[in-house]
Amino acid sequence: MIHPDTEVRRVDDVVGVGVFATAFIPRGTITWALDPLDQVFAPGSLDGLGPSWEAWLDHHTYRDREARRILCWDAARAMNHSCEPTCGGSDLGFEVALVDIAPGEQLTNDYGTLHLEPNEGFVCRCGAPGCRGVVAPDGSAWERGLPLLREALTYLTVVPQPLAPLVAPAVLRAGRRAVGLPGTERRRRPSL
Amino acid sequence: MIHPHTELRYVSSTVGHGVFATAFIPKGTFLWVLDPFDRILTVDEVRDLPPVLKQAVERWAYVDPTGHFVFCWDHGRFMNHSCRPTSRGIGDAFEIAVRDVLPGEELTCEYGILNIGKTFDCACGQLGCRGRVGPGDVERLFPSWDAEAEDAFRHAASVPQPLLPFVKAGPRDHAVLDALARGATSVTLPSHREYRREGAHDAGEGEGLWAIAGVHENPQRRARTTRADRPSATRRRASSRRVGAAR
Ligand SMILES: [Zn+2]
Ligand SMILES: [Zn+2]
Repeated sequence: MIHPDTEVRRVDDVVGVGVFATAFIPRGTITWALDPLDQVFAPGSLDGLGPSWEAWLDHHTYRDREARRILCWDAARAMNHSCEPTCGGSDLGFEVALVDIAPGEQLTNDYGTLHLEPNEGFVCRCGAPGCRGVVAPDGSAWERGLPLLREALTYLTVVPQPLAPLVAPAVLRAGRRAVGLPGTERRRRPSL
Repeated sequence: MIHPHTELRYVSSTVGHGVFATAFIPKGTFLWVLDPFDRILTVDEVRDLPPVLKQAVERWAYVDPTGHFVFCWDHGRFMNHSCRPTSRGIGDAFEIAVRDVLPGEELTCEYGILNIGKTFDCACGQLGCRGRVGPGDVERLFPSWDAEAEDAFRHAASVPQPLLPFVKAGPRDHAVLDALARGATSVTLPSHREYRREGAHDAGEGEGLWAIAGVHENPQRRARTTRADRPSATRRRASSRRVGAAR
């Protein structure tokens, strides 16, 4: 589920729609969480659908690390690509704001982190100062985004988290560990 | 799946969002079809959802004749009710345009067949608005609804049907698909009356979809459901102000 302080707005005829913040969303806020209304399909399980669905699948679903197709139930589907994204971390089962997001600013992802197939690279005109021009399907985007993601995840516990009820603590801990942070602040009770 | 030549637009704070045509769509076009990605949820599955998601289902799902919640994956779930809707339901999987839909016009359907579970005040503004829309309306009005659907279906084989490759047809829909494949203009369609969940009654304010979905459950479980899971009083008031929760 996408952060509640967002709405879908039309960008233009080329891009279509996008997801925009309606309030200030500080860095480290969980902006999206994989939830039980999102649908997850194992590789191969949609092969029987037939060719009429191919374009639909490309447009509405993304692939996770295990090549599963994810269909989000809400506006999360409408998030656009940026080479300097405001959100990241989808493989962790949740995303966080990588920077402070101002009201009216767009929530974006680096599609390069979404496990593109070899033929799914694309020419990018996202307009970000650091636009790569071509989004390559090579997985390099994850490495490139890691420092920002790691930094953002250090703010997890100090900003308001309206989506916290949708993310199990174990998922948060695993996410922090996946970027090289200590997974939890849980302290052992001192032994007597 | 909602027709591709549509978009979601914000209507007002009372109505919320609605679905609007972005191009001319001729009479006889399927405006919505049930597809494999629309979620069909059991009462238990909905009950086990986190509260924020349960509210989403309560607000945007409808209940089918077998008591399952149907939660559309796309903006089809934001279609509003009208007493003079742009489409009528056919079988389990189709909404058919009963007149030409102009660009900018809102796509609407009839909540009276969607097992809504409670009567609501309608503000659709159409000539002939019933004022109150309830689960019992179909028993009085099905003949004219059926006639409209049959009239529209005469055009179905001769207009573009972009949604046809995506439909998830149930047993009651095969006659419709066969007729289209033959190019037939007239066929006996399933009546709107058959879409009513057996035993559905006017649950009054409060129980809403739960009363309808859980109508055949044993009374003990039913009591638990209605106490623990019915929407809060505030939310109930908010949703009854709407022209209707989306389909
Ligand atoms: Zn770019
Ligand atoms: Zn009305």
